[in-house]
Amino acid sequence: MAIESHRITADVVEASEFPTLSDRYQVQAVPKIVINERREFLGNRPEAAFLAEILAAVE
Amino acid sequence: MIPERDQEFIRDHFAEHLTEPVTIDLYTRPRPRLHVPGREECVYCEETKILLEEVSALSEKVTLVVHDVLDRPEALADAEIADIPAIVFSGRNQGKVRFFGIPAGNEFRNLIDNIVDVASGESHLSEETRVALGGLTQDVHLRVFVTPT
Repeated sequence: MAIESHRITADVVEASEFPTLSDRYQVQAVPKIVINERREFLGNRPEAAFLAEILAAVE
Repeated sequence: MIPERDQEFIRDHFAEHLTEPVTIDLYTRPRPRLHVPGREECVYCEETKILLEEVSALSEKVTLVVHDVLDRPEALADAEIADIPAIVFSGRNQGKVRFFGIPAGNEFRNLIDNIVDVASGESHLSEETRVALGGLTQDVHLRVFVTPT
């Protein structure tokens, strides 16, 4: 998605290597997705649902 | 680090699909010669560097730039990066695509796909999604936490 928009930064974080960051976002299972510190969910989503999460995070 | 058979496969994959140049910036530091008590070690920095050197050797379209943050700590601030090893992919992508930690195990496949997608600037998303993303008026920071296995 970051490929398509200059507004998006997409970070993949290897959770076990960054325990401080993982603790801050309470990562207990993966994949965990956090959007703008505001919305989060576990597991991948179909494209439309993922987009809906992004749009909800910037409402 | 990458088995010979996999290198062959990736070399062919890149030859077929990697048609535009891509730059990989790696922010890392060399393994310290001695352990300093209290200093946090970067466990996978060296392995990540070796892995990316091997991947970048598989196509002339891939340029690897290694930033030694011990030598030049300001490189991190310049790139707005807080953690290492950090990998930044630059091709025809509009936004930032980054990876923190070693892209090994399941994430190795992701690394190879990322290189190809960033180079081409093509995301495989639907027209509808691309239009919606193009209409964003605020910045979006996605963090995807993964583990290598």
